[in-house]
Formats: sequence, structure tokens, C-alpha cells
Amino acid sequence: MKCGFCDKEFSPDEGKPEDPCGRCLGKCQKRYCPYCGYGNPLVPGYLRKWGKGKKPKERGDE
Amino acid sequence: MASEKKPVESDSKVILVGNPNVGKSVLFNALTGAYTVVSNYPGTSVAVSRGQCTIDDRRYEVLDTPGMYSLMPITEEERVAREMLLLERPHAVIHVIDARNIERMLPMTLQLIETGLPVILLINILDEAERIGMRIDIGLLEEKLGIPVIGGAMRSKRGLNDVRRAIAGFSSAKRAVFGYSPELDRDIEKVASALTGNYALSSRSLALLLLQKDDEIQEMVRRTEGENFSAVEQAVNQTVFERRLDLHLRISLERKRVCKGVLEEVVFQPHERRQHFADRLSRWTVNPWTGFPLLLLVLYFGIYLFVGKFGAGILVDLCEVLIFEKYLNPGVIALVEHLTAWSWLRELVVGEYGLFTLGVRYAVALVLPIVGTFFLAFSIIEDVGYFPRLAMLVDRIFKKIGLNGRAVIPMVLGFGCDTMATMVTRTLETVRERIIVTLLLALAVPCSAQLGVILGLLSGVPGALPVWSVCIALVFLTVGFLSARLMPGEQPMFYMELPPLRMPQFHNVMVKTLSRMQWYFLEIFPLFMIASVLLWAGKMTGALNWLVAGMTPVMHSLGLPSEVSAAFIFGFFRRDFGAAGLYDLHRSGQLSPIQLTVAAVTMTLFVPCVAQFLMMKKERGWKVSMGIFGLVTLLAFSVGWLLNRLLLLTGLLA
Repeated sequence: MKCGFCDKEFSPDEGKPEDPCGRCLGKCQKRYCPYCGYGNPLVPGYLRKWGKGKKPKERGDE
Repeated sequence: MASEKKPVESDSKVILVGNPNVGKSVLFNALTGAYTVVSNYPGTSVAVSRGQCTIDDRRYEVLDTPGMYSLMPITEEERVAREMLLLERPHAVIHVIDARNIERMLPMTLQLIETGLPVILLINILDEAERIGMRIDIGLLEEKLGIPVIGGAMRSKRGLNDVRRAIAGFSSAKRAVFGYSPELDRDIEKVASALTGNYALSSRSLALLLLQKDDEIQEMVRRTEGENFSAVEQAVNQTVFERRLDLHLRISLERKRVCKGVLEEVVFQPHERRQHFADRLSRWTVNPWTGFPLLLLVLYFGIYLFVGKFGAGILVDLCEVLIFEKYLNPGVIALVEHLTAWSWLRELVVGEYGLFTLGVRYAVALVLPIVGTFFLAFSIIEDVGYFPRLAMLVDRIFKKIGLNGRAVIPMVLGFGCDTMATMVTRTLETVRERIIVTLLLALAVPCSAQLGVILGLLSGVPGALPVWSVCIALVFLTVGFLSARLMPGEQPMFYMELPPLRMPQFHNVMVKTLSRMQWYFLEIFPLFMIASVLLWAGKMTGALNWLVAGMTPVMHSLGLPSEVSAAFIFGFFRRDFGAAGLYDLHRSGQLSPIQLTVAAVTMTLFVPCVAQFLMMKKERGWKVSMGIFGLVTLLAFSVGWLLNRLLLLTGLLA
């Protein structure tokens, strides 16, 4: 996923807080950027599917 | 760093490195064809692709590394990518960069050259760069860097043969050396000369990483140097102590300066490109003379008009007045009265603090439209790339209150949820900064729902919103300024690379907005239900009346009716719940413009909600959090009292 603040990419697993604030129902629904610490929302499954099949804006690889 | 691990012996290795999304995998596929193996790098969960390619009858093993932004790893992927560079003993390292972002990506090329590794630079996506009018003098860049440089577009295989030729004929005989400032060069030399071991990286590169406090490199040097390590450590510590500056930042800035020099006469951009509106706008957003007026425009259109007027006004009216009051409430009340004759049960479901009439109504009709519009505005601003520019803009002001631009991250998150923002303060560098930001979050940063409700409330009363804004800004700056004076300490420098400013993407904005709304609603709904039950229980047992009666003298001293006490009690459960209570009182005509403004200011400054308080305790400990709690309560009521006196005395808002 891409950080909404610094624009750097990181894996959601990497952004999982070890000691979350505990406000979310169930598991933590934020992913914190390892580069800047910004809290990004974890996209629910049905919304992630919505984005699938869309051509990425950047001509990249990963 | 697992330096004990032995790399698999194979053909000459070619390692592809670079930022994510620059075309590494496209190059990998073009070089290796269909036969590739994807497996986890030994001892990690990071997938690495390996393939073969043959050039001039010689076989090469090609390795595609995970994306990395610099040689100083932060994520597991970056750690693996660096480890591969250190352990695989490559024949060539191809650094792939995006031609359009050459200035942003070249510092890593410099880092790689400094390591002494056999680097080839591939400037990829050149076709798109040319389409927007960019011209890059590849020959001159090659001369300046002293390594092979190839321009290409791997998707159309443009430049692929050049890459293959560069791999086959690679010679690391010549390599440019980049000079930093004399002072930094002396520091690097001091550390480098203390190193005696045999390393995969150059001593200059190691010295730079040691000065930047790279723990893994330090550990590797400790193991290699043995008894000599104390001399290395002493050289590093002495330099860090002497400079008393953030060396990491200093090295980054120096590297950027060198890159700027390298790119002079190398990159040409047409006049239209240089004057591209996004570039100009980007510069305006960080310049204080234009940045603050632009910030006011963002706040006016994004927050005041969209969230305050549209969300808290039009949408709340639609949901509350039309849907709830006209259709849902009468129907549900009639149904409950039909189903049960027990007054306590009727009271629990559809009474004054009923589950439906208070809990569901507040969550769905009051808070959700406001928070929804706030999250939409927030996601647009975020997707545009405005937040890092805001951090650069306010850096100077934040320095006056003992902070720097980095503190913008928890502050911005605080407008979404102060509890989560309090947790994020742990990313700040010093304890002093963490305490100041925790205090300011608890005191003067309203969460999204509270802010939206307050904007909606005050925008209908002429003059009330400017008074509220000035009060909150003054309290924020004064308390910050005094905290910085009372808690002297180090002030780390702040610098961040600005991502490009761009048009918001509809898909990105909607996904982020809906994700935030979903998680927010799932979080608040049960809490609003619990709060309704607690208030109902308080009403039935008389405890609520007792609490309200206890707070009444305080309310009266602020010039407020005793009914406002309930909203303050709500506010301790959740800030948005309290603001919604105030909204209700205003709509029933129980507050004059002065009372409304005083109540809004006091409630904004009032104690953090239970969850935020618990987070404060977790992050800062009992002593600090109780101190903040007491200070915030005292300040909130003192400012409210003072404001009430001032407004009555001047006749303003009367």
C-alpha cells in the first residue's frame, strides 16, 4: 500500500502496529507508514476488489 | 544483518534495484524471459525473483530486489534488498529509476556509487518523460557519474540491448568521487580511516551509514573489527557529539545538493514544463507568503463550506429533520409503545436518552453525515499530496512552540481521531515533543465530528465562528509557546521529500473515504449505544441529575444554562457525542449566540474523551496524563469564563 502522507510504498504487514490504540472493533484497522508514521486506513476486502482490474496510473512494475 | 548466511554459488549475478514502480520487474522479465523462480529470501518472508539470461555466451543470474528508497533500510523489503547487495557479490547492480523523477531518485544512485558496487544506471520510462518535453543528456550524465548510464523504456524494450551490452562489457575501472562539504568530508574520513576490516561496501559508504546510526551496519562492523571497534565507535560518537546536528538530515541535504549539481546541463525541461501549474502551486503551498492564504482557502472551502455548511447543515437537516423526525422516530415510538407497556423499557428504547432516539439518531443522523463529509474532504486533500507541504509550511511556526514540521502528522490525524493521534506521537523524536503534542491534542485539536458539529453550529450565528477560531488558535499557540519555554530541550531539524502534487483520483478518494467511514461507524455505533444505556441508567437512578446538579454552578459561572452540563458529561464519553448534545440544545433554542460560542469554545478545550485519556496514560504514564487532564480542565473553564466576560463586556455577538 502507498502512504497517504509521504507517498512511499510499504506492505500492510509492515505497517501493523505492535501495540494498537484499541479503538477499532476487532483487529486494528490502521496501517502506520514505517517511513513517516502516518496512519493509513486499511481498505476492506470488498473495496479492494473494486480497485482490481483498474489500470494503474503509474507505469510501474510492482 | 544475517552476514553468516552464505549466498548460493551460481553464475555471475546481476541485481536490479530501485524504488517501487520504476520498471524493475519489466526489465527483469525482458532480460530473463519466462523461466524465473520466485521464492522467499532465506530467513525472511520477502519474495525475490531469480532468473537467467545469456549474453555473448555467458550466463548471468538476474535477481529482482524488492523496492527500496535508500541504502538505510526501514522496512523488511529494504533490509532484504540491501542484504542482497552486501552478500550476493554481484557482477553488476542495475539501478532503475524513473526518468520523470530523476532528481528525486538520483540520490540513491550516488549512495550506490559510494558503496563501490559495480553500478549501472538505467533511466527508464524515458518515452513518457520525452512526451512531457523532458530531455536528458545521457552521455554527459555518464561522464559526470563515472558509471554506465542507459536511457530507455523497458515496456517497449527500448534500450534493452544497451543494458545487455553494459552488463557484458561492464568495467568498474573508472568511478567518480563526489565531494560533500569540507566539514562533512573530514567527518567521513575520520570514521573511514578508523575501519580496518574487509567489507563488501567501501569504507566511505560504511562511514556514512555509521554516522547515520545504522544499527545493522554498526553490528556488522563490530563483528568484523573485533577489538578495533572501540576506535571506530569513538570516531563516530565524537563526530556526532561535535556536530550536535542531525547528521542523517545533513547527509541527505548534502547528497541532494550534489545531485542538483550533477543534473545541471543534463536535464532540460521546456519552458511550459517548468512553468507547469502543479509545480508552481507546489512552490506556493510551502512559501509562507502564499502558503498561508492557500491554507485558509483549503480550510474555507474544504472544512467550513463543505463540512460545516453542507455536511453539518444540509445533510444533517435532511437526515435528522426529514428522515428521523418526520418518518423514523414517530414510527419507532409508536411501535415500541404498542409492543410494551413498561415505562422503563420505553424509556430505554425511545426515551430522552433512548437507544434509538439518542444513540442511533446521534450516530446516523448527526455524526455520520458530518464525519462522512469530513473524511471526503480529508481524503481529497490527502490524495492531492497537500499534507507534506503543510508540514513544511508550518515547520517555522511549530519551531516556536518547541516542535517541528514532523508534528503535523499527529496533528492532522488528530482531526480524524485524537486517540489514534496520541498514539502516533511515539514517532516524534524527543520526549519533549511527545509531551507538547499530547497536551495540544488533548486541549486544542478537535476531532472530525466535534469540529464538524461546531462548524455547523457556529456558522449560523454571525461572528461566532471567527471568535471560536481566534480563541482556539490563541490557546494553541500560547500553550505551545509556554510549554516550549517551560520544557527546554533539543529541537530536531525537519526535512522531508515532497511527493508530487497531483489531481485527486476519484477511485483513491472514494476507497479511502468509504474505508474510514466504515471503520469509524463500526467503532462509534456500539459506543453510542453503551453511552445511551449509561445515560438512561443515570436518569433512572438519579445519578445523572446529581452529576448535572454538581456541574450547574460551573455552568452558571460560564453564563450557561444547567442543561449544558449533560453535553459536557456526554463529551467525556466521546467528544463527538458531546458536540452532538450541544447541537441538540442549540436546535431547541436553549442557547443565545454568546452562550453558544462560550459553550463551543469550552467544549473544544474540555478534557479529552475516555479513550484518549487512557491512551495518554498508556503513552505518557499516569503523572503526565493526570497533569495534562488537570491543566486542560482548568484552561477550558478559565478560557470559557474569560470569553463570557469579554463578550458580555464588549457586547460582541449580543
